[in-house]
Amino acid sequence: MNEVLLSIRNLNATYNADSNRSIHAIRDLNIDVLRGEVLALVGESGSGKSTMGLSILRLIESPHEIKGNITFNGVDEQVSVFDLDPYKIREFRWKKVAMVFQSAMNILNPVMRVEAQFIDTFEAHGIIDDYDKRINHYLELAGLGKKVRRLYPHELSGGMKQRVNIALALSCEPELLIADEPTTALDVVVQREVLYELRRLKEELNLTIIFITHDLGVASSIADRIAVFYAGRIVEINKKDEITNNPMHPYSKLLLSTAITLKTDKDSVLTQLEGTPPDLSVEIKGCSFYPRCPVRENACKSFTPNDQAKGEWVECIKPGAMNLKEVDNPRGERR
Amino acid sequence: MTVEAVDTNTYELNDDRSIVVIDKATVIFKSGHVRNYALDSVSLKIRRGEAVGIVGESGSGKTTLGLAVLKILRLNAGRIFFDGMDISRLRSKKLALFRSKTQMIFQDPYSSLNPYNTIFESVATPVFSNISRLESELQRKVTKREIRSMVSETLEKVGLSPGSAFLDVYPRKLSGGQRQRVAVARALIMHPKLVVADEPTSMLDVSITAQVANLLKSLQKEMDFSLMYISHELSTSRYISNRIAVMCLGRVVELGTSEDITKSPMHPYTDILIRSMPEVSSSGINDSIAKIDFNAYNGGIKGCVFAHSCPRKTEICTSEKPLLQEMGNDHEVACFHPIIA
Repeated sequence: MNEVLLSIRNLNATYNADSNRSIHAIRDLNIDVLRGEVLALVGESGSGKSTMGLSILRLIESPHEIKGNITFNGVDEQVSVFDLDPYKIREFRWKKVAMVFQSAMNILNPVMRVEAQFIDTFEAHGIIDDYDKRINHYLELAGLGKKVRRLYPHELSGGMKQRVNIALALSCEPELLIADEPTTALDVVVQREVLYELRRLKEELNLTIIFITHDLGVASSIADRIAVFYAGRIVEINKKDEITNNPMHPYSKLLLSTAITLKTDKDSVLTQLEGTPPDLSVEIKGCSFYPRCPVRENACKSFTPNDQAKGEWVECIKPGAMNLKEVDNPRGERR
Repeated sequence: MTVEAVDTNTYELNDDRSIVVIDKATVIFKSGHVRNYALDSVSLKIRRGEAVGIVGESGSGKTTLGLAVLKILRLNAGRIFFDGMDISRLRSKKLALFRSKTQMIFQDPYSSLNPYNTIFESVATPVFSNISRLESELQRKVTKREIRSMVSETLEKVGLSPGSAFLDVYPRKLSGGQRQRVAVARALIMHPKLVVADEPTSMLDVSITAQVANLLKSLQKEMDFSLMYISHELSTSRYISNRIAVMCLGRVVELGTSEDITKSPMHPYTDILIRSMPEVSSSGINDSIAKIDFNAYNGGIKGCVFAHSCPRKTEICTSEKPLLQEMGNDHEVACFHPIIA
């Protein structure tokens, strides 16, 4: 369990929107993904979690830039993702690392039958035999019947499409699966089924899963470890139970307490997280959460941590210092 | 098409406590020769000053119900009363008055505000459309300066302060949460009696959801309008609404106080919905609860709409249509075998 499958060091991703504005979506990110775990990346939109997923597959292309080092310790070989030549990267994608994309509805080719999409994938990745057996096998793995093979995407429901996507992602036997908000467009009941399916597949195929989501509830129902993203960095990473029961970073704490659940007191006023995330096109000095943090102090401005790769990590000068009761209404604003 | 009687002995159409009375509303969308029952004989009352949550999965007809109540969609059968008036009969002046008393907040604050209009122009639109009525009520001209101060007051009410600073700003300068506040201000500036909010938080980030939920709840108390809160999300609905109606394939299958619905659901569908919700600090998913696929169905089903995947299904469920039945404490359920704790 503790073997490192993927290690990311000093990852920087920059989107060059136009000549005078570039957005630093990921800033000096370090993380180790362990073999056989489900790691959830949680954060608000624009926090860099999807960019990390795309970087692993090297799907960010010019004029945008990625820098840093990503090492993948596969079963048979160790590869450095950013050094692969164009031919090798094709082999690396899908065979080592596959991705389930966010928009389940639009990923499948609308004019191809489901089975043709599988054959397409097989041909692109050099698998030339046993198409029939393979297709049936992966559809069954994802909880679909054989009759789906002859259907077109428009004949499938949202949940079924997402299962086809999962089956396609698994069809070249990857070691790592990146699931980017795979359930966001789905209804709750279907969402739960897809989550259950992913969890089951992980056990069955000994997969490692990076699960990207903005929903803390979803993250805590599937993950072993949770990494909380804020402004292009991981501000806290720990085991699921630690993050959900005892968050140490003020941001994780606020994020958890703002989430509305069925147990929220109906007569209470919800804790609010004031302000907006920082503009990533300007350089951020010190703690990125400083302007919104209820327990900030002057020392936070010059805080420069760089030790994220550890399994447990809080990027805060005084972790756990914040007491929610004191900051119920941090700026005394009108509700 | 046959429309069955819905609990006729207690169902009064002219009810002073209710702002909206929906009586067997049916909306059918035709595609080719397929008839999709988006609303299948729905009856529901919304009381004055009350927040009702409409919960259901995609395709359950919750948005259709909201649009029908606002007279944006025409009913194929049934009637809807607003303040005692049948809305299908409203014309000209009365219709204009109805439009100013009912407002909608849309899902996506990025597309519901015109990017070429300043915040003042967007929020003042309802005022300008009702200017002649306003002037005849006040018996004098209303100046632009007055409207500007009216808009900036409303903006402050929704938490955009100082309001005057936002008047001449374009929407692109605002964040998602701020835009949704502007949309709320636009809905509230004419002091409506009914606001329909269609998934106002689903496009927003978690932290901003809390802001909008707080805002809607406090304004609803303060300005005393009725709120129809449409959402697929049970926990936010529960927080905002007094009562919740659970919809499934065009029918209301359960109706009750939000506490009752979430703590002791009686309809098997509501039960599955609640058990499927991902909760923070859950112990993880180790089992499968239910496989539901509504896509194969178009509504207008003879029996119960949930019979195809219901764990409690018996013969009667496929042959007879269950009607909403009072189970005590304002809790109504349309099921032959309700879960009784």
